[in-house]
Amino acid sequence: MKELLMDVQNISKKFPGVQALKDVCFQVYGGEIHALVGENGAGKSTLMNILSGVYEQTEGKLIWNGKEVCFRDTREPKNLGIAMIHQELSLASHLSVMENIFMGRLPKKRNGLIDYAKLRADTAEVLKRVGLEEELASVRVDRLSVSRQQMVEIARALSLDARMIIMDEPSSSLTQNETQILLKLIRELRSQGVAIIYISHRMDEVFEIAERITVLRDGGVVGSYMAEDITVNEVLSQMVGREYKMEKLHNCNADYQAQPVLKVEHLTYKNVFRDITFSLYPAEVLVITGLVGAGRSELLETVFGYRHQESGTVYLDGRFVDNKTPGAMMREGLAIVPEGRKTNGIFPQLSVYDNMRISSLGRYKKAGILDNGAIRQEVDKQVDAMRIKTPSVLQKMKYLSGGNQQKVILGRCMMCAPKVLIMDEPTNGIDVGAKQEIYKIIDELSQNGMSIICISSELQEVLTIADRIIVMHEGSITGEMKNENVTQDMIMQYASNQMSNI
Amino acid sequence: MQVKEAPVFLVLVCGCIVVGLMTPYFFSVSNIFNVLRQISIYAILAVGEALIIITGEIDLSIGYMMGLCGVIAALCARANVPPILILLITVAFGACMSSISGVLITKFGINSFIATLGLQNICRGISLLLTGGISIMVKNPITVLGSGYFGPMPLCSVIMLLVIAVFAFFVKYTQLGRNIFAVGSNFNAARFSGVNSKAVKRAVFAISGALVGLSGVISYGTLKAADPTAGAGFELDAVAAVVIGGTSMAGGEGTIIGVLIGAAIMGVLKNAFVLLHISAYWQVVVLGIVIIAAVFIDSVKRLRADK
Repeated sequence: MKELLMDVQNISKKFPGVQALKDVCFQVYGGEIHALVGENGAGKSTLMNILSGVYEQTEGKLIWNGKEVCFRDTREPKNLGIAMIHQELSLASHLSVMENIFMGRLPKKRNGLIDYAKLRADTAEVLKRVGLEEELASVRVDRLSVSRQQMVEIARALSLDARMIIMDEPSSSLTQNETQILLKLIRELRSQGVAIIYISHRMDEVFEIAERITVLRDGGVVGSYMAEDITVNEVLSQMVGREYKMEKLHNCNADYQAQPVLKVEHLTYKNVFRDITFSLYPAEVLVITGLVGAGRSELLETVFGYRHQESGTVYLDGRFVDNKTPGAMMREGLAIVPEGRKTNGIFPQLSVYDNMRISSLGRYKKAGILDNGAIRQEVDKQVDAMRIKTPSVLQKMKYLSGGNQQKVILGRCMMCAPKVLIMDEPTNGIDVGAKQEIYKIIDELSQNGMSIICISSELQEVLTIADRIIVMHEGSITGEMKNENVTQDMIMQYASNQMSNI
Repeated sequence: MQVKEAPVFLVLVCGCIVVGLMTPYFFSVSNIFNVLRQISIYAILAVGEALIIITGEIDLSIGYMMGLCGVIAALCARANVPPILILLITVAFGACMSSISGVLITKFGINSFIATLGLQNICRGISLLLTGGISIMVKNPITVLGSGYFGPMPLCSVIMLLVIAVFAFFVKYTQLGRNIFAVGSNFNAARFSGVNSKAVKRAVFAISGALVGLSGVISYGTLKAADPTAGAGFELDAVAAVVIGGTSMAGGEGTIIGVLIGAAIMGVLKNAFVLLHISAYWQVVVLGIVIIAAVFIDSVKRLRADK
């Protein structure tokens, strides 16, 4: 009988304004591979961050090896033998493998200098456990492939005597072959008695290795199952929840008989997406969905001229356009609300006024000099139209709430009077009220004839706003459908490329 | 919006009053014009530096580049180039030199600190090569820019005030002016907003270079001689004026009027030490303290605001 290693009892986590986890219970046994699945935002990351000491839970208990533990920092779980391997690797890329594995605890000689002989020997030992050659010990980490870097991370966890390893989407940047090697290693570790929590979107992997599957949805556990007792479809249904179709926000205004406003043909960009062809029709709301990492953002950023495709062409109103720079595409009538409000959207130190007018300054020039009066009028108009709550348009952007910042960025786009509006995860990280308002704005714009492409990972949102849906999986379009009688798990199956299992 | 410069302006006024009480000569017309003349060159340099710092970069080459521009102007004067052409050639030369930094930074991703440090040495070397290390003394009508007067006022101070006025207008009323702030505040967001972020940086370096050229001509005119080592350390005075004037080293924030006030604070400080007969060595120490204090106040404000 396997021993109970980690017992998570009624864990809840509240962030200001958000209940990220409520009453989560689940158990991990020694030498078990336990898969944790759920949609984006279901609470997987929050839960893992609590187990690895990044956050402290608001309520509930963690029982490790029969003793209650409380993690105030990330060192405590490490000392107990809990290791976390993040989606983005956390190696120091220009240090050697051995320095990475023993970072912060390099063996020292009596005189205080580093004992390289022991370091090499210790490293060789853990490298053997993960199946890497011991000659790699002194190689710089950035010379290794991503999959080998991941092995190094796992080796580091093992060198800390980890008894439970949490892996967050470990296969997301691996090829098919590398994934197989990883899965083999995971099985190997299990036989050594290590427990693995495996977080993944990829159902085929989950079912290939997991003994137990726990499904999270909206911050709570939906169920915990032995893998042989449940099917892929059942798990997918559990992930997306109730089997009902949400009321569509508006009637479709799209004119599918007309010439497409935007047409993209055979677009390819590095290894991110390949041979993508689609069209956007007048007054249409087209939603592109899929899992994180499917290449959706990169696709639209390429169309917008932010990245440069290797091949493929973009047409606007049937006319070829050279999508060389964002500036050029904005002059052609495109505008974008980019993904990542903080990193790509706002100018934090600048005023709301400056944030909103920046894209359309060229429209308000007289002999090279800005007509600030006219700009101010237009900004005020957009602040009203978008119902932006700010004490003054001179308020610095960083003091606005996420929802209001997003509306300012939307207002920035509107001031350019675009023909095509691109929105990348427009409701990410904003509260429910602001979300509804953004939906309403999208609806109004489409009724006024604007053509909109929206990227969304939230299935509810997709079904609420879309006229037509394109689903992407690992850089290719796997599904395209009008938003009629579409269900969430239909989309989920296209998104994880599991159509064959239906 | 107008209040932004108020705290530094207050510091300047208080400083003037304190120094004025200690030595009444401070408020004499001739001394005030003296201070104005002394700050002219690095205030002009500081305007260009401010624009660069607002975009989130830094330029350490401007001091020696100004010396080189002075040498170019003097060599042109020796070759009997017409005065107005001397000005144009030198300004264009400065713009081209600085554009080298702009291209290195935007096209090849070289860190601006390093790129401009390299260029600083290149400029110093070229100045010494062209002159053999000896000042070039040559008379020319263009030297009026450095040593002439407009009524009672030094002509170089008039030029400085004009430069301040032009650029205060520029950052507020032109598209490029606004784009400079956007690029410094968030490079990616500026690109997604249709701003060609890299081109903005290159433009700013070119503008700064042109101002360096103008300063070079003034510097040559002041003594009617071009000293190849003129401008040594001026880049740091310029950065100091920019920072004291309230421009954030993080980019995205700053005002041109603030630059003038920052330069004036430094000018008053230097002047006070002379008038009060305190060792010039102390002047250097105090200037260092003032620079740190200015940045200290800025970061304390920032930390509070973020909490």
